[in-house]
Amino acid sequence: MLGVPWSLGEHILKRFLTRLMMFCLLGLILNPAFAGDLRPPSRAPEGRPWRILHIMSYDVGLDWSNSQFAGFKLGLGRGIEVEYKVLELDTKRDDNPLAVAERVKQAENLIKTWAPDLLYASDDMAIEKLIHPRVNTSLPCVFSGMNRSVAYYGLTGAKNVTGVLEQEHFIETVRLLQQLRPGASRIQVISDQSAYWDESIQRIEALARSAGGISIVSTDRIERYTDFQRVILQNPKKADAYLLLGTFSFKNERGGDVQFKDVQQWIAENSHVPDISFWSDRIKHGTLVGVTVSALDQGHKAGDAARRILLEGRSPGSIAMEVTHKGIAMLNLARARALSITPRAGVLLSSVVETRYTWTKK
Amino acid sequence: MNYGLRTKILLITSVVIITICIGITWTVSSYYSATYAETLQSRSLAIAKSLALQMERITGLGIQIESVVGFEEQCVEVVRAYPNIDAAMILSPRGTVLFHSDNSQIGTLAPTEDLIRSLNRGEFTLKLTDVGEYLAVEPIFAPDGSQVASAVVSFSQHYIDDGLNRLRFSMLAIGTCIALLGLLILTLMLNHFIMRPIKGLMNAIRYIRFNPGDYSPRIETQGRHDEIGAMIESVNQLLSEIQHREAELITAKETSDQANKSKSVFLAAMSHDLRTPMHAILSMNELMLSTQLNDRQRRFTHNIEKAGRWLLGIINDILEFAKIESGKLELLVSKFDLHLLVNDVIGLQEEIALGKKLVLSQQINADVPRMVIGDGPRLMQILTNLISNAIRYTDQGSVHVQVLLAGSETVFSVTDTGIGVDPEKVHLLWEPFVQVAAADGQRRSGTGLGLAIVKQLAEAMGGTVGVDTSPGKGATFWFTARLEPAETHQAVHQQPDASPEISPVASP
Repeated sequence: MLGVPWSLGEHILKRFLTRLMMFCLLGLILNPAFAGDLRPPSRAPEGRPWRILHIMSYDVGLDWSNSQFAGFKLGLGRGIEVEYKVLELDTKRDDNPLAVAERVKQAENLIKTWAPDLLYASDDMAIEKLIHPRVNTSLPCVFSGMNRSVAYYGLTGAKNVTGVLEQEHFIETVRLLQQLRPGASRIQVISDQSAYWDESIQRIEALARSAGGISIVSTDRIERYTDFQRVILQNPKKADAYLLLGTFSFKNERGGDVQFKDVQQWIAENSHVPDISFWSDRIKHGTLVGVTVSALDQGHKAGDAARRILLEGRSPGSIAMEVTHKGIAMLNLARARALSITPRAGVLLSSVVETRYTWTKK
Repeated sequence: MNYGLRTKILLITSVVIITICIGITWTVSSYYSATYAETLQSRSLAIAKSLALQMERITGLGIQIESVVGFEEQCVEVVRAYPNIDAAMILSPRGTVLFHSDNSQIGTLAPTEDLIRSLNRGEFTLKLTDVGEYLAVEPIFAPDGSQVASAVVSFSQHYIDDGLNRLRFSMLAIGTCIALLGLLILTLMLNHFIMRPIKGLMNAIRYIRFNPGDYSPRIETQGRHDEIGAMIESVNQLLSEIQHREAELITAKETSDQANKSKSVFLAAMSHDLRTPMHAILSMNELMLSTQLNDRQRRFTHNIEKAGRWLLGIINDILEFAKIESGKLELLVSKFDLHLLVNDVIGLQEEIALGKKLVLSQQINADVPRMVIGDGPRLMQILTNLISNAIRYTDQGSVHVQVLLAGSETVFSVTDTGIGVDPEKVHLLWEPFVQVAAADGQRRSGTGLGLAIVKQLAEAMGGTVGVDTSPGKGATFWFTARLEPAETHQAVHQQPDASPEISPVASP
């Protein structure tokens, strides 16, 4: 007798659960997000994965380069099957023109043999060497991290090229410095002789003039490492801070390239003048402070453009080239301590704080 | 309470609305107070937690808390960002203020001992009732897990009180507006649905009150089918019935009056027709008495005369009453000697009084004018009637007649020591054709019209009648009359002595 109500109860419960599950399943299927996942990923017209060739101006050892590529993948999003090939021009570690030319040639061969559906170039060197020659060809090109102007590379009005320009957060960086060292306003710009910094320096000088209270006391384009060391140590212009611009492809006494990490370590250990820059790699390598350009944002916007080209069939020329404005405040606490600077709590809380130098990290 | 119906209803409604408003305000206030305090506590705790996290982030960079610079700016920022927060601070485990939104507090000890104890106990919220402050406390830990400080956020009780007051004021204002609006609507509805029909009803009743006998007003129901409509219909129906009954009564009265008049005319005619042969009988009987009769015949003739005169008296009474009833009574207006009139009446009755061995006396007060203007014969008729009645109902003792002035009226009274009248039957004395049984139970002769005629005549002379009596103790019948003094005669005959004139006119 007792079994009857239990059986009836179980029957009703089973029916209820079955219907609930069916209802949930139906809801999931009809859900656009879930339905998107069920669709097969987009492929090239030949039925193969899309081919994207990524040419880095630098190397994968740099956060700047890696973050741009990671952002590119994020911007490209899901639902697309992609086969990547990555080639480093490696100009930061070896800017020997012959070596660079060799690596550009490899890239050219790869474009011919592998026939990518899209070329993604990061930073000026790759743009100059590989996108500039392909303006108005059939290969869609997307770039990021470009310091020079669009016109400089002849990209104005190009039908197959779009991308993201990089502009330095100069004023924001100086203001951040002033929070650490109140009254710091005399800035000395120090760079190497790479031509693509010309336009950056012009922009910085223009910004300093318009901001008021900030002066560029000198702009030094240095080739030799010893000259650089002398300037840093002597501070002939009595600057309040050095603006370290670029990757510093200095030559040592034997004519060889001085590694970026060595330059940074020497600065950290010998310079008593605060220094600023615009890239996270520099802060990690001992530069005191900077409002850095977001490499991830650069790459993300480039990836989004690539997605529209490949999936929506948009012409690259119809996608406007844009400048990213997102900046990330960064501070190297070890460098601050070395300079006897005690950052206020507000700066520590609003910045990405690097507590050590990269070479001291385990 | 002498308030109108509308005022009473409005007062009751106001009391109900005010009670409801107070109830709602109290309930909402209590709920609000508890919830708002809880919300502020919760928010303060979240802010304290946020400050603690910020400090932990800094200490996580390897900076000792004592080496942190400028964290007071974070505290100030918190106080600026949240208006209800009074203060934000970082306290060392011993209660020293490391950072504070108020720079002057840095380096001092925590505001209260309670707070220091609370830091050690690890409490998260604390109410300092003596200063009316709520505190939210969040511990700050170093990377090694040790507690290095606490973040404390305080807010004052007055924020809750202020909020509560604002809420109460708002609710009071809204409640007042609603109450006023409700009362306005109620007033309009009362006027339209209740007061207007009631006012119509009252106007109709007032009209009937000031216009007796006119029941013509009707109240409009205005198509109402509610209780008031039913009441108005009932009143209208009642008025119709009253109007109908009134018309019937008037008709009946007119018919009755006409019948009464006809009866009086008939009686007058009949009395006149009876009196003529009666006079003839009496004249013939008188002639017969002057002839040669033996004793027996003479006795019979005397009986005939006595019976005839008695019958003639009855006929005269009926004729008199019929005249009065039929409205044919006309009073004479002539000058006569009142004193002489009273003496004459007494004189006419003294022989009868002597026959019954009664003392018949009279007293005329000195201020009673001798010569007056009025209807002397009718006055004489009234006095004769009352004195003869008194003699008739008095077997021993006396009958006393008194005349005096009471203001503008002359009062005549006849007091006897007779059998008196049962007080319960006094009111019947003045009714026509009514014979009130005497206190001794014996029926006395009479038509029962005498006192009715006295009453009618006295009233015709502008006076009234009355009797003071009790069984076995005699009676005083009195009446008043308006007699104008005749000045010339009065001046001639007025006596210097104002003492009353008393004279026994008959004694056994």
